Amino acid sequence: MQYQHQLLASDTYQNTVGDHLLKLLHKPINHAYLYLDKWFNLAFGTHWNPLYHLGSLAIFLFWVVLVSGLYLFVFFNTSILGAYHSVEFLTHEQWYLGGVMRSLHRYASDAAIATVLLHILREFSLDRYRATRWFSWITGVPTLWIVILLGISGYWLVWDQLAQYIAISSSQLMDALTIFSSAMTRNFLPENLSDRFFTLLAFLHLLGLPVMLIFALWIHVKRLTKVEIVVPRGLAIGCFLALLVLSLVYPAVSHPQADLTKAPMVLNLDWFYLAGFPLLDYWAPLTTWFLMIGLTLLLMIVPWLPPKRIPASAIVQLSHCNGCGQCFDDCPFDAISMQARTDGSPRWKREAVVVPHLCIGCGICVGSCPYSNPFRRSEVHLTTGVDMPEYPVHEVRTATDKALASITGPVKMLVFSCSHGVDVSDLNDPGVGSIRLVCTGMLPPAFVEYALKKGADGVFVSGCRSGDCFYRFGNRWMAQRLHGERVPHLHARVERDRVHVFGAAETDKEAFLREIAAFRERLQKIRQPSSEHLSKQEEVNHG
Amino acid sequence: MVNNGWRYGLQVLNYLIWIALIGYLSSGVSYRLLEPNQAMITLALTHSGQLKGECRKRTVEELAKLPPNMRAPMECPRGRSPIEVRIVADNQVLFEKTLLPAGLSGDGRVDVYKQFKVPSGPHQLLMQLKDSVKADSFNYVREEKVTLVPGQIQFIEFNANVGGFVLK
Ligand code: HEM
Ligand code: SF4
Ligand code: SF4
Repeated sequence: MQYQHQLLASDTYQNTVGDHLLKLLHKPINHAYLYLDKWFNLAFGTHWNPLYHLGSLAIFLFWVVLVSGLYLFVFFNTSILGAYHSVEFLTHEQWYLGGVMRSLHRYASDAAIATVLLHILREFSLDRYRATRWFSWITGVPTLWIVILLGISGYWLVWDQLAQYIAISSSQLMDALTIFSSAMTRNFLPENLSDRFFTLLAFLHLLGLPVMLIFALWIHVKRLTKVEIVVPRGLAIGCFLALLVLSLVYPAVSHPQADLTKAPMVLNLDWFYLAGFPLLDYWAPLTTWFLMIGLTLLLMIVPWLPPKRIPASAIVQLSHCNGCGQCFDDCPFDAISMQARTDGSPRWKREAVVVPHLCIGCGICVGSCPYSNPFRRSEVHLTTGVDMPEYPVHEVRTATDKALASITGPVKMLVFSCSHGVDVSDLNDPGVGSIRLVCTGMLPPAFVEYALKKGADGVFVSGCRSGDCFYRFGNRWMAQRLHGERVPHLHARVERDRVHVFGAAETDKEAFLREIAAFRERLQKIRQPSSEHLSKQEEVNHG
Repeated sequence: MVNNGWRYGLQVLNYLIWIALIGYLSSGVSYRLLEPNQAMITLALTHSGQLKGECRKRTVEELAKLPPNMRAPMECPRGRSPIEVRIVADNQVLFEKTLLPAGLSGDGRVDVYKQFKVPSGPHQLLMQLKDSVKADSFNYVREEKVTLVPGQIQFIEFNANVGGFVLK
């Protein structure tokens, strides 16, 4: 019987009612994303797949909004009487540049909020928002509000009938709070119309909210490392061209100029930003406030509905830490810092320090540490520089030994998998042993060499699909280490033919099995070289 | 696997779906606020109710008890009357409410802003307001016939200085 090792500690759903319910909610959305991802990987390749870059894509779209907005600002008249005509001038007289800029400004904003919504839904369905990740989630909520307010205030500035509708509806909403001594709606009686509010709105839209957005985004990604700020170039170019085509084919235009003595009859709302306004036509302002505040609060507490159990945080063993900083470089969650040595070691200057409340328990740092080396038999108990208390590297070595001993058949394969990719626990293949790690990023490359030395014909590493990883960088670091592009390297003497990396999500079981079969065939050829191959070899030897 | 030509083709297809969706939701779906034969009546009223109590002359003893800087000869209660407003169009009540003055001590103004959709055409408007607890019935009443064209806004405002309800 092949050996299957499941680490005791689990970082996925627990066997509780709350987690079962949450899983029921996550899975359909998650699977929809997995299918979409597959389609996009086909069209864009994993490197350009827009669904793998939703956050940085939104940032790119904000750039388009900013640059086009600066152009519009040059021609925009910030007075309530001049605004409309200045926008009309850009749209019609200068359609070839100003009009295009206006359309880009609008459509990039729309694309940005759509992208952000996809981003939220994705993080949610992939369960990347609970436990220590609550911080990114919570700080995302005000960020979202800033974006929405930016959009609404932008429509206000055109001062057309749509703006009039927004102005009056928003004022009614504000007046319901009765915190302002004078009713905001009174500003929009025909005889009272003045620049006062308009100037405030222009200030918010042109300066206040954008500055707040930059600040909010900075906070939003503060607990992550190596954040992708710049979207891959191919995706940026594609997106920009698409928006340009839309701008030329279907330019953004205004409604008729605002006239406070006339009621707008039909409006083409921008449903990305203004979808909430029709509610105000049916509900009392206070009901709308309750709904908005309620939804915001609900969104804020979502990371604790229910709380996620995560493995105990990583622990540094100073006796085995030389301060190389590789774990610091690889931790995706900024949980490790390098500090001055505290044990008086004469050899090393620095040491790794884990901040427990930032650590998510992914184990990626264990894979980075040069001391995570199973060949070190001098110690009965394998100790490394930074280790996971619930699944220490010593246990991984014991599991590897057991797994290797249990595999039978002509071709012996050992699979290292992770708990977020394809499930390999039901393989039932006597020639395959498997060890499930929390993340394949936890696999120190020396373990691959170890397994091959100890009798495996091949080692198959199966993490999340390439381009995406539950722990952000686990599969990427692992692949780079095995390819010798990142320390610690898989030793150069290891035959690369006997090592195979394949990313497979939980819905990719069939592809995974095909890949295993193909790998087995390859290993068979290496083990029993064909006669043709043999004779060639002999020729070489004899020649 | 797909070759590069196919790949770019698929990308273009995806981008086209994306921009079609954006263009459509951005300005392709209209929202009707008023039917073609509707107009709007907007009640935009701001008014302070009359003081609830009468001003009273303070006695000499009372004045002596007060700190020197607060010895005003008259004592006036600050509280203002709630305002009752009723707007009827063609025997149909559009608005009927008793509005409490704003502010902690009930001495503030009352602000109302309400929009009502009505059919265009002629309407008989009855506007009533009571701003004093001492009055038994509405102390401001105005009746007016208006004819509204579709999309027109008939503002109903209030200004006690010019005799009460103002139509604009
Ligand atoms: C408003 C615009 C937003 C932008 C531009 C944005 C951008 C980003 C970026 C660039 C990242 C880092 C991704 C990475 O490199 O791994 C990120 C992470 C994240 N975002 Fe947003 N975000 C936005 C809004 C939101 C909102 C509204 C939410 C949720 C309510 C949210 C939830 C998250 C979460 C949970 C993560 C952490 C993912 C992780 O731990 O791996 N974001 N966001
Ligand atoms: S386990 Fe290691 S790599 Fe993962 S979050 Fe904790 S310190 Fe960082
Ligand atoms: S990788 Fe290991 S040796 Fe290097 S700093 Fe981290 S714990 Fe210390």
